[in-house]
Amino acid sequence: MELFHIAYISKSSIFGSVGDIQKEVRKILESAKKNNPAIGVTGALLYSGGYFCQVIEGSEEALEELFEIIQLDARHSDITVLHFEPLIDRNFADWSMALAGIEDKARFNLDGLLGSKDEIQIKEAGASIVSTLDELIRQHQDLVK
Amino acid sequence: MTDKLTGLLTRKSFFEEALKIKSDIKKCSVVVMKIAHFKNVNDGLGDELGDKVIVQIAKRLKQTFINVRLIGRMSGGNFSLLFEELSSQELEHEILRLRDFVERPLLLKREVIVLNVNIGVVDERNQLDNISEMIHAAEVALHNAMSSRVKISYFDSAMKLEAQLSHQLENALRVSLTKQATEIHRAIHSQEFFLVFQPIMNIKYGYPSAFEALLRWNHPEKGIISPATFIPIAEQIGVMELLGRWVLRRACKEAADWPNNSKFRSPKISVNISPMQLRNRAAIVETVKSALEESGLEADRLKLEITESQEISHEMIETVHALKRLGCWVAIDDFGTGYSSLMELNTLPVDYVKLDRSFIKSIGGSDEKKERQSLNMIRAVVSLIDVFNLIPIVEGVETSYQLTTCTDAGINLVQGFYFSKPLDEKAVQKFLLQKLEIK
Repeated sequence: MELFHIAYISKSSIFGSVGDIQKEVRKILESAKKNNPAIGVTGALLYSGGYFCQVIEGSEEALEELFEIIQLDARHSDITVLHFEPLIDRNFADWSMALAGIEDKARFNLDGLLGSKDEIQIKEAGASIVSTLDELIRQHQDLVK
Repeated sequence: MTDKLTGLLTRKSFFEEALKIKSDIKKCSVVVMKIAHFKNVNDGLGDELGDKVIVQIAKRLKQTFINVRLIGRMSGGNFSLLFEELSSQELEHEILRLRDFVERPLLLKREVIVLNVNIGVVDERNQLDNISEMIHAAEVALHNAMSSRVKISYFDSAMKLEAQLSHQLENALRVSLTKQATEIHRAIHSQEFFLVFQPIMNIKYGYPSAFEALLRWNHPEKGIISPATFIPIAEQIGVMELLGRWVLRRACKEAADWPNNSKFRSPKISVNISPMQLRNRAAIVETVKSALEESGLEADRLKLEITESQEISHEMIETVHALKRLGCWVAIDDFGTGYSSLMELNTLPVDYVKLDRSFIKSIGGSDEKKERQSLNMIRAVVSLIDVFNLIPIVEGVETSYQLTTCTDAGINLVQGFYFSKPLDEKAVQKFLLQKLEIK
């Protein structure tokens, strides 16, 4: 099976206290953990200062279908795709959807990236976000598994 | 009836269903949305993927707008939504959601596609008389959004007259044409549609090289209606081909009777072909062929004017070749306003290039800087046209100063009120006989 991964950032539409945000992010993860194994999708999600960063990995068909479901989710808006590329080995093979963290302050300058037309900037940001998510997950492995 | 591709209402059934709404229409809002440059999306990705985009957008609309009363696909990338009982704030919220959800990225066949939309809105505050007037009003607002390059435009009273006119005209045109479509000759005999002819003078010989046929509509109640108003409607309701066919036949027939003498051949007849007519190659080739056969006009006395306001596609090039094979001439109209550069134009087998009237307009005006710029533009364009062995025509010449400018720039063919306004059939004969006597 040919593998692909897609990375995107979006603005969160979840409002309320930190507790409310945590609750909603947990819901997203639960539903991912329930549905992703059946379609062979793995990935990671980071909530960072009002933004989501997500990477999902899987077959072309599975990503097409799941990505559309994600698009219809009202819990976020202003979605910018950082990359959609073929993949040799999964970065998050052990995770149906790993949580890389819920952070109060934005880790990246995401505002400048949203809707950006600068392809190089977007690609670089995509690669950097994937590696950051990977690193975060390794750091917190015990917490997120 | 639903649209085969998306399962949404078609334009016709959207109107029909909207008319059935029994509740107070003052509580209805209509939102029309157009995917910007959808033709480019289709051309770039291919029709199959273009169709998938439409299907996916239709799905998003169905899933996102659960409380909408009607959703229709009006044409290509145009959709309409009809809401009931929404407050202004609720409507605004729905419009922002519409924009947001349609502009979210699509992942299809390994392509990430991001669409842009324009939206036209009419809400209960506009107090229009009926629902179909509201749909037209929303479409007017959409056009306003597109022409003012804004995302969302709300219909307002300034647009009201335009919308009412467009609505009435569409109805009137539909009635005129459907009543008489089977015998379009009746429309001609009742002289609702008629042609006028404006000379394109060869200033070297002081004799018209051609006459451009211009269509007019004399509506029984509304008087003379400009083609700029009724042609878009005729295209929209699918009668342009019928009308275009009549214009060609009528123009060729008229030109076949024009006088000549041993020194001057009868002028050519120049007929405008709409982008829509040009899209159906088999039909336009057949129309031109039969117009020539019926009238007995020599093919080299017919010139077809095509506008530059469309991108030059491979299909278009093939169609122009097919028309040229019939023996007629082809001119590019309104050059300088559309997409094509002269280099691109060179891929089309055209003979004449008609410079847009905006080029000549500022010659002799009060703005000297603008005049100088226009003059340089004319000279530059004419010298390039010459490189490609094309013949320039300048339209919109109104003063002797403008005429001298053309002569100095080496232009021989000019058209405009300086020589003559558009003439009716009898006046053309008189004009020609006078010119022949003088010469």
